[in-house]
Amino acid sequence: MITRRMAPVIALRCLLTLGLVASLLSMSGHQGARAQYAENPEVANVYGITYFDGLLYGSTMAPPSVDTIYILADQTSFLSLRETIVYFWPLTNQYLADWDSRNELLDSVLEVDGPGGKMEIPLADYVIQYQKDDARSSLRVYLNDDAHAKYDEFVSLSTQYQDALAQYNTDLVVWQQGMDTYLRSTPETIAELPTPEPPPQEPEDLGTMSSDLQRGFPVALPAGNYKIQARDPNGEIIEGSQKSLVVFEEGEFAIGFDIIPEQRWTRPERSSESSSPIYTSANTTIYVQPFWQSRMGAVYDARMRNPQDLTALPGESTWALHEAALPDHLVVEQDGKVIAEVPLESFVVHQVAGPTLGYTVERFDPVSMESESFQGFELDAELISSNPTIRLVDAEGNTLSGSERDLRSLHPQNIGWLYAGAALPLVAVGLVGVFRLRGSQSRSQELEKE
Amino acid sequence: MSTEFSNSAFRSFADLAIGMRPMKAVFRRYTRLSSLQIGTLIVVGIVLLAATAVLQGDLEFLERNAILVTTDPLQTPLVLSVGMISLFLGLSAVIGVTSEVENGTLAVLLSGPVTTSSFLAGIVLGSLVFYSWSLLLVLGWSVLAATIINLHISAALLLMMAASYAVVFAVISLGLLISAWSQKRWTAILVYAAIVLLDIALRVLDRFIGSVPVQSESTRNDPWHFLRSVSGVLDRAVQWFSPFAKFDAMARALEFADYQQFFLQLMGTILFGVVMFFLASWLLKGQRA
Repeated sequence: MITRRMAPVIALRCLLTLGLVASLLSMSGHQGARAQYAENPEVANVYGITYFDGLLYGSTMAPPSVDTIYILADQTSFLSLRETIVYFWPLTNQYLADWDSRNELLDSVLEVDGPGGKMEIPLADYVIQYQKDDARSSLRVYLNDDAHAKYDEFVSLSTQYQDALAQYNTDLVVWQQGMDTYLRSTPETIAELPTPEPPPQEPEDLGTMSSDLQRGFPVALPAGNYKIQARDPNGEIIEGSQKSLVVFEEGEFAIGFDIIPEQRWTRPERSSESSSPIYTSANTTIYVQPFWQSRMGAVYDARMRNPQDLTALPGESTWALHEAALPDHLVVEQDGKVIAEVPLESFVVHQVAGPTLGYTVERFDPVSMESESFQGFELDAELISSNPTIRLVDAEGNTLSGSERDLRSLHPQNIGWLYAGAALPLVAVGLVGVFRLRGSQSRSQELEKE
Repeated sequence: MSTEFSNSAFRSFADLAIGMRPMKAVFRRYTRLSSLQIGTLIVVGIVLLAATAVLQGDLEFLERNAILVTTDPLQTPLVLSVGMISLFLGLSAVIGVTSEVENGTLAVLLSGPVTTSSFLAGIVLGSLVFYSWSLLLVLGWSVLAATIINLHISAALLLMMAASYAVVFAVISLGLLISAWSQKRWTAILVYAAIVLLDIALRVLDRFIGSVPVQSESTRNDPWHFLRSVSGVLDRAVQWFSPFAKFDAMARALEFADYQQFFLQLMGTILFGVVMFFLASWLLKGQRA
């Protein structure tokens, strides 16, 4: 029997139950809405794009939903019209290609219409090769016969390297067995054994990187807006091949720095512009890590890498980072005179124990320490206090583009004096007011006396 | 109408050449206003305190982070100072012109050798003299900051200070145009405030929307893209007309050492000011007729 006293409790329970059911339903609905799957797979023609980003090649594709392709001016990028299965992938909100199911290069000729008039670009075999340690200056693109020759050469070298590596591994096993015998021998028998051979030398790394032999339209155009389309051997325009092609100038190549303060080494700041000085607080030692970068329009850069990108903002520029060889010393100058040359060194970071937390950084000692934390150029507080300029120079003594930075150690504790100076005009207004008031009072007193 | 305006502009140039003496008289009359003298000092005082607060923000970041990488910590305080002082001088010009109209003194002035162009030029010159004093105080503040904080007064900062005259001229000319069109003090003040606030609001909106990170894999259906496109279009439209946006663009151009863009924006600002000035003169002459 339900009494009046129980009614509110029952009502509350009902409400809670309803709430629970509703939340379970909403959760299940939410999960249902989140179930993702490839949507609307269909056979379509897409452009495979092998773009040059200023240092290396990357690849992407332009599905039918994209009407514009972006590539760098005066550099060879490759387009290839392919028939594949395209599907919408809700997890990333992008169209993707199922290359494994279908990937057929369409035999065609690319027609380009733009500032230089109309031109036709036939398909070509190509291969891209570069040296691992200096991709920036060693990168080469080979077409047709050259591509075949270079690729065959690479395959041959690669085979030789693999053989040498296999031989090295065999020799190493034999050498280790010999060493084991030597180490297991007793002092009495060791004199009878021959002196151990030195370990086998590991074959020198191949050093060269190569793409597979590919086929596509080599496109190297001056900056401008173009229209492209592909014709099949019958002279028909291939469906989905008509697109806009934006060819843009590569921005400047320059040195950027990551600046690591000793106290907060986990929070580095990036310095991309040489016009932006690096300010430090008093007694701060910093470590600078240079890198190569190139400036591009944010939209161009993003859509070159992914034609479906919509996140980049027009009118803004971005710096694309590149891995390339860098000098191993930094020149520090004051008033045009070199005051120090700082070598590139390795450092180890230690967390400060206790409640103060923080970090200390010390030079890496390969004998007593296991591994380094980072590499960089150390600029101590005393050096920075002289308001110096830093720059990187190459082997010929030329300053690397955009590598100059001014350093200044600021005194934030003096801000109070600046407030006092800023208040002076208001103080002057107050004083003028007081004098005027006194003047008018004395005049009125004089008038009263008269 | 365009022929009429260009003829009027030529006549205004001729008036300016002939009316140097009356212009000086208007200039002296305008600069003697105690409200302008005291007001400028108060505004500069507030501006310098605000500039110090902005700089303090950078310094607090430096103390927290141990390093600060920025173009010039004195640049934002300068942009703020130029913006606030020019707004005040523009407002003073609005009040100056509409007061003369409402008090009936403008009709008396214009019945003599004073022409509309020399009258407006006198106000502009008077305002620029006050601006020069204000800028001197801002420069003094910058030197003090450089000395005690160990900042550096760059050539770019000095170039920005010189270029700020064009911004101030453009804002004052805008104020003159509004007052010549309205001729009623409160209407002119409200329209002037509305235009300035709209300019600031559109630019802040674009910065805000632009700063909101968009999901890296968003689609064309994402509403943020629509908002960003709309605010981007509005911001680009504002870039054509707003002296403040042009000053901002000048600062950015100097940051990238793009002197061509700097002078383009500078010329654009001066042109904007000249067009506003002669439109104001033409309107005032038309109203008077």
